[in-house]
Amino acid sequence: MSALTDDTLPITQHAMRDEMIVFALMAVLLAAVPFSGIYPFFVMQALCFALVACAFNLLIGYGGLLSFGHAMFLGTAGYCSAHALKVWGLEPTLGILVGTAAACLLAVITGYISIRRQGIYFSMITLALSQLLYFIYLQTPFTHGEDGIQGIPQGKMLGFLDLSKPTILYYVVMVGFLAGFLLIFRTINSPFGEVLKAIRENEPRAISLGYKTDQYKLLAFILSGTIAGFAGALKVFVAQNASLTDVHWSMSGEIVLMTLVGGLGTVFGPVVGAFVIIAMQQYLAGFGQWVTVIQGGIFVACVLLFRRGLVGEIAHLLKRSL
Amino acid sequence: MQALYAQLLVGLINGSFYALLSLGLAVIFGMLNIINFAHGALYMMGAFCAYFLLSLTGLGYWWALIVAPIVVGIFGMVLERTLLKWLTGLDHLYGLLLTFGIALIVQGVFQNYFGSSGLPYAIPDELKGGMNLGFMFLPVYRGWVVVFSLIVCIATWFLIEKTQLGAYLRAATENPTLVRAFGINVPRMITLTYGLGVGLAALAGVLSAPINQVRPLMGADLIIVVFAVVVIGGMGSIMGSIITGFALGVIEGLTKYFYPEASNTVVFVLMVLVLLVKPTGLTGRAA
Amino acid sequence: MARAPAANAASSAAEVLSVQNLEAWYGESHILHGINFNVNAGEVVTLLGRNGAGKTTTLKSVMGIIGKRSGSIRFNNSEIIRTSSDRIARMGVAFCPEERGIFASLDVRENLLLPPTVKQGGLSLEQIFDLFPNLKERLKSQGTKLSGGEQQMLAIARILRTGANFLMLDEPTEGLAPVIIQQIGETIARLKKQGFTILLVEQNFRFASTVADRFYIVEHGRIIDGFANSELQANMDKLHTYLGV
Repeated sequence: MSALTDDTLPITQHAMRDEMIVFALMAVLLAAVPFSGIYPFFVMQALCFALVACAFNLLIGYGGLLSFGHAMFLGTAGYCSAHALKVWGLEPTLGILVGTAAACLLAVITGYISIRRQGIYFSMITLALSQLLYFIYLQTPFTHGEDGIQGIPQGKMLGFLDLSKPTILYYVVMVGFLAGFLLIFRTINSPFGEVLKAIRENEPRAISLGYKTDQYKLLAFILSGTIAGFAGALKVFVAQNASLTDVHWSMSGEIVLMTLVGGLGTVFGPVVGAFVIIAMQQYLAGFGQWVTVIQGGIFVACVLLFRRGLVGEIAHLLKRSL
Repeated sequence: MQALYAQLLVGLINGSFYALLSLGLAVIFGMLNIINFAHGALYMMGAFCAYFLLSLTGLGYWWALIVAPIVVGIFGMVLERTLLKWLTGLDHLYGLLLTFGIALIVQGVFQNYFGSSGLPYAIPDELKGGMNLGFMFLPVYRGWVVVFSLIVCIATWFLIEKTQLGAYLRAATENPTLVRAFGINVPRMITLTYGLGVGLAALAGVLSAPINQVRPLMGADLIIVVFAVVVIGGMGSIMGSIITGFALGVIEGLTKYFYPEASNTVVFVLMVLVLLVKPTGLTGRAA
Repeated sequence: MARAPAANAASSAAEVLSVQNLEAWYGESHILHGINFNVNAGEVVTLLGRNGAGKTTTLKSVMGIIGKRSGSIRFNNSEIIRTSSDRIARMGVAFCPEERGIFASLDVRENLLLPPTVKQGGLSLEQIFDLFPNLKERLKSQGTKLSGGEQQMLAIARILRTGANFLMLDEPTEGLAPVIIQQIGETIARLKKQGFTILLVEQNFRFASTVADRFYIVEHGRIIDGFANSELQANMDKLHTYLGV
């Protein structure tokens, strides 16, 4: 069975160096945004989704597991952070912590259930679990159902960073994104990451070498869910609300789409993909449901013609690892 | 007590749809190794086909029962020939992604033209009204849905398990290369099988139209429940899919009576329990 | 190292199969590097060789179920190198794979009746039950519940119904008891009398020597030698080297 990312990019000798250069470039570009005239809200939103997509990509690109329910981490962290900030009045850092911890706990539970099956069944299970959570959130009072939690205070992070000021908020989100990205990057290139890749390529062989593959997959799942939750917690400050949209399966589908467009299994693909899809959604906002049709069309086109995604194609052309 | 039987009936009806849809999914998965995410959208197209048939040509329900599965089935076969066949040899997950994309396209197009609200479709005159069974009042149409679905499910089971044609299908599911080497046009079989599965979904859509209004998203949430049904039942046996579908519908109905808040989620909770106890599903065929 | 096999030349019977410069790949692996041989009408030809030599790949290439092939395969004077397997089957070629390919989800009767008739002249069910009496008793059993020998009989029986007159059998005696092997040998002899042309792949050359008219030796994806059954004794030493027995 050919793994989803079978066109594995050659790990050139300077792969890490190439990637670090691009990372530095990305950090510099992001830091320059408030001075560029680009609307920071758009970039902040894109960064949150980029981080979720990176977390999702960790699972599929390196673990070979396609989660169709990642919205549940985004949404759970969002709701819990929102509640902590608005109802308990917690300080922003603690609010983020609450959300991330909630997502982590969710990932532990859902991971334990989902890892029991592989491949297509795993995907269906994550989808079903996410839908289960959606219905639960629809009915529990603290989420305020269809209205969602509105008017979340941005507050002062660590006592002095006034998050109601766009520039400060932007840099906080940017730092959060870069930190999460680096964590994923380090994981991919660690011994743990190498074992994950081995499991993705040939799980029976990894088992025969003595690796408890289920444990590795579960750990990857928990890490992926936690980071996705962290991104969801960040997003609460940007959007100032937490709603059912964030837990709906269509959100999971969008996360998959972003990563697919950018390039499954590439380091920077999810980031590029997130920006592309968010930009497209902004641009096509007036077209109603045609956005859904176009997104469906992109799915079809990517699967049939464009499996490497944007970054994957570029990396293939340049024969480098990106 | 009346209320309990009424909920049981609703449960049986939902179970009928679960059975018809998971049957189609299982047949398609067996032959094509694709989880057809577009199944919900094709179910919806069946219902819309019935609606158009009536509003554009005046042909009613009984025509729709035949025409809709054929029309949507043909559409499905075109999809298979043009898009799905490129998936052979690729990882199974691409099938999920591709059919997900197709579902988005179909549902998005319908949403653009018909919005999100429902279009009405009347119960055919012959099936209007109800019967007093003593312990409950049975609306005729609803009874018809359950009985007809059962007949179609059993007929499909018979076709697959007991006929020569079904033998070809079962053999091709097991070893398509060898079956082709015997001289059977397996690619054509695959297309027809997809058409069959899609036809079953469209038929469910027609049955559903008079009960649940005809809406572009009527299949979207349903398909996820059907996925859970499929995970619970496993896709190993045709009869298993049918029984699991009906059973889960009934369980859902009972839950609605005894503990309404959980009715949306009971199937998923059961899925979790089955996974913890028997990961390969009740009929136990591994992926 | 393509030495023209001695047996090719003097054959007056019609040529049913002619394979020239056949190369084949499984994905990236280059398995066949240039196979050359032929089979004449009414003959039983055996491909001998060690494990992994490419014998099965050769049969599968003729049947058209290998992904990538190049060269020339002519069946009854039609080029079939690019033809799909179902069309090759309908030309009268039948394949009995090494793993027998009995379908678990079909009973014995369904397995038997599965391959469609491709030509006139196939054996009728009575004739098949004559050849394989124990199949008649097991008709309702699930295909894979049969013993190894019975499955082999079933695998051969079902292609006899189709009317295909060119049969390719891949290691029909593998893993079977001597008594069954003898039965299979008798069956092949009987089929030959009835005019079937058979291409056999075997590792058990003692068995092959009881049924085959000619042999080819396959090694590392090439035909490296060939001789008629009459020359077998003279070539025993060479055979021992080739097959490592």
